[in-house]
Amino acid sequence: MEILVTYLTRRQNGGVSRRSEERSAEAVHFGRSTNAEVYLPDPRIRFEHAVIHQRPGGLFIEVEKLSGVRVNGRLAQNTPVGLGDVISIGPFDVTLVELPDGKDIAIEVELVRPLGDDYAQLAARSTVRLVDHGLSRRRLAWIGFFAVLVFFLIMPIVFFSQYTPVPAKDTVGFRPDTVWDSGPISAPHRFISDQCNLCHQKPFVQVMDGACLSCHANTTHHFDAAKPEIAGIPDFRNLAARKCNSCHQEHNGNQAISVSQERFCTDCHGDIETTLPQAALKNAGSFDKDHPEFRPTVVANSANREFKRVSLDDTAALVERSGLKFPHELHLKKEGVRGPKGKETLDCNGCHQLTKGAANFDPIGMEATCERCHQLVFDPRRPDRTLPHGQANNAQMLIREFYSDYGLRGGINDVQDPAPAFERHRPGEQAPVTAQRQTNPLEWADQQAQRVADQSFGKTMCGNCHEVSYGKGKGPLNWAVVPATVTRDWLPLGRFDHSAHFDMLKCSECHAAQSSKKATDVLLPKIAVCKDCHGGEKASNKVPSTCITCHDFHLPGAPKMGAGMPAGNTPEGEAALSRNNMPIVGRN
Amino acid sequence: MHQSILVFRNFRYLKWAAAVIALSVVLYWFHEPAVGIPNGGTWLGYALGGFGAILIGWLMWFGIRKRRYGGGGAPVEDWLSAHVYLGLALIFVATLHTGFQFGWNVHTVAYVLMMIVIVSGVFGMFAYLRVPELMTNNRRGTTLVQMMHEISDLDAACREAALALGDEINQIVLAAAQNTRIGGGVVRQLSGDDPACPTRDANSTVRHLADHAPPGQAEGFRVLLGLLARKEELLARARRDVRYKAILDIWLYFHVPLSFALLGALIAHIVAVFFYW
Repeated sequence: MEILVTYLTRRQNGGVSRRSEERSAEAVHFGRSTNAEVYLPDPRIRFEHAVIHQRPGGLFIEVEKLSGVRVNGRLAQNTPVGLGDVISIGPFDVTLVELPDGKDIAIEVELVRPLGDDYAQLAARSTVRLVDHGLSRRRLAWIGFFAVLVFFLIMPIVFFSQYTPVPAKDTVGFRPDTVWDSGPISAPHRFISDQCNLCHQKPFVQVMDGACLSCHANTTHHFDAAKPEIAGIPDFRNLAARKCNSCHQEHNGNQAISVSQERFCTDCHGDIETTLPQAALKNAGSFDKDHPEFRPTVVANSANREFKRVSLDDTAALVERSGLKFPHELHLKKEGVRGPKGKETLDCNGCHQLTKGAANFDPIGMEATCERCHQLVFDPRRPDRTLPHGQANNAQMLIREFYSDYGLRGGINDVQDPAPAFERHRPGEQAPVTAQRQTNPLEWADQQAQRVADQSFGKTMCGNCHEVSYGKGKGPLNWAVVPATVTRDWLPLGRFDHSAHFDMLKCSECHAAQSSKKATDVLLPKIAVCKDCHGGEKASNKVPSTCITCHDFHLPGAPKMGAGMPAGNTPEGEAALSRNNMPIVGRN
Repeated sequence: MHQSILVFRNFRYLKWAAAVIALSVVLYWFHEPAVGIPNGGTWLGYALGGFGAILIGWLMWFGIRKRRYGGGGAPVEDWLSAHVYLGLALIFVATLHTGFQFGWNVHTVAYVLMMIVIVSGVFGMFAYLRVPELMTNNRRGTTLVQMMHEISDLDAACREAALALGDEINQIVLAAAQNTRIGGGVVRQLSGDDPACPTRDANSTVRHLADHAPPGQAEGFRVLLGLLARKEELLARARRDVRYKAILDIWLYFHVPLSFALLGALIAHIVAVFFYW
């Protein structure tokens, strides 16, 4: 049949351009094939997409199933077509139009559903900038800013303003202001570590001494600031005005709650001989270089309890006048000494017992220490009768009464006794006691008492260990014992933990007791012995030792801390805090 | 020749930063706290902290200064060079301010945020030093838009070349044109690749089919394969371009928002320290 195909192309200005082709064929083939009578160049079109045949009944379109071809909007398969029908093949609309002369079929073809703008589609599919995801740096910035502020600032402040204090021993549980915790609490304070407000009582006010003193009420100062010689020195007034947290800082873990730096002390003590001569202290600096020789407090006069500090270097003046005669050498003899059950060898802790739970020794005393061997038996016939220790007059009376009793009751068997106290008499017969007879035993007793007292006090017992004297011309039985003063601590302002040194050292490595023949010896090691192991605070090959290794800042006997507190830390200030229901530990 | 901001004014701001670092380190080295151990509360701690806070404020001011074109004062290049070097010096100032005390608290939060901001800034600095050159080389004088136009043109050309080939080829080519995309999600943009690229699939499938093509279609296949290869190469370049752009942008999404979070943490840090003095 004769075919006229007209390809329509619409222009942008609305005009239509037409291009016609004439074909002659058995049937009209539609497809991508260049052999097709109607060439439809589009990838959506099959090679051979549809065919129109002429049959006796007219024109029919034949398509394969699922080819999507529609005739006037209806899916076609083997459908008759005629003039005016619109056949949709893929993106093309094919219209059967009026037949010009000599033609069997006339067709107009127009691409009505083009593929579209490739670039526009590609651009629509592609996301090539991060900002196209709706990410806004500004929005994220504000979110971050406010989230952080709310969590780390607003919530803790709200918690603080609404917090109701609980007793110190209670736990608080979670609290938002934990995020403010600047570091671990020291171990001694950790039991109140969840109670920020015990210390931080007022916002934007440094921790006040009142908070510290509510627990540490008995802590003493370094000196008595009220003393005129101290009050006159500006630096010392300054020290008195220091607050607790000038030295004690929390939230630095365990190591720093107490100040240990040397220069805290040496600021003043390095030149204290000049700045405060009336204190009679020696300049002291670093332990390894600038620490003076030890100056033990020795007994200057035991009778009057007078003490003085003497340097270990001053050997002439270094005399302990304890009122005792005690040779350490004799007691520590290797071959031993006579004990109550025969010979025994003594060592240091035979007498010096470390006090349980303390760094020092139990006090030395007659009853606790000496009496086991040195029993005050004055008459060997009666070892059960002993003299009372520390009571010289009482003891002498006891001796006289003892012998008077013997003289009167008899039973004495003393060959040196010049006069018998009692005459023999028959049983049941009461012998008359004459004045003569009465006098004689008492005279004997007095003589005996004086003899025994002289012996005991002067030689065998009291005088053996104590300095004794006899009041001449003051009548009988007038022995006196100089009061003894046994030093328990020669260095009362220093701290020395014997228990910490026992493991490594023998007593004799520091104390020359085995060669000490006199009780006046001060058996302390010189500072050089300490320096064998201990160095200054920066020592690298010795035990670093600072002032507070041995010395206390808060001295016993000084006024309590809190006296003379600066404004804002006064008891009145503390009372004001109490009124505000701030918890003061130990007070309410 | 363009002068890098790093060597700007003969390393003037590197010298400033070095001076800040040296001063901080020397002071810290010889500093003995009056009480306790080194921490933010000693005089040096307050000094370093105060200086660090001022520095952070000044560094953040750069975000405003850079938007004020011709705003007077030092040129923005000076600001940027100083921003980089003094930002790095802040690492030393802030770390020494901490006294190396860290914990689960707002103070360390501020420090960590600051470090992330600085690290992201360092990333950005290297990105700005390196990536623009890579980007220029990759673009070869074109732009991403031009590349995409060219890709679209190639799509049309491929379709045309495929018309003479089988239906299957046409479907593949059409799918490659209609489904291929450039960029995508954040990760996809940063990767610079599309592991399931329809064009790549089309290329390999068509190459496979070409081996079994009838002799008459060999020329058609050759043309189509050439076009597809060209398109694939262009796609790779376009995706690299997207990747470079994403690299230039991504760090700012950390640098800027986290610096504002840092500002919040810094305010909280300072208030907290004095609230519970």
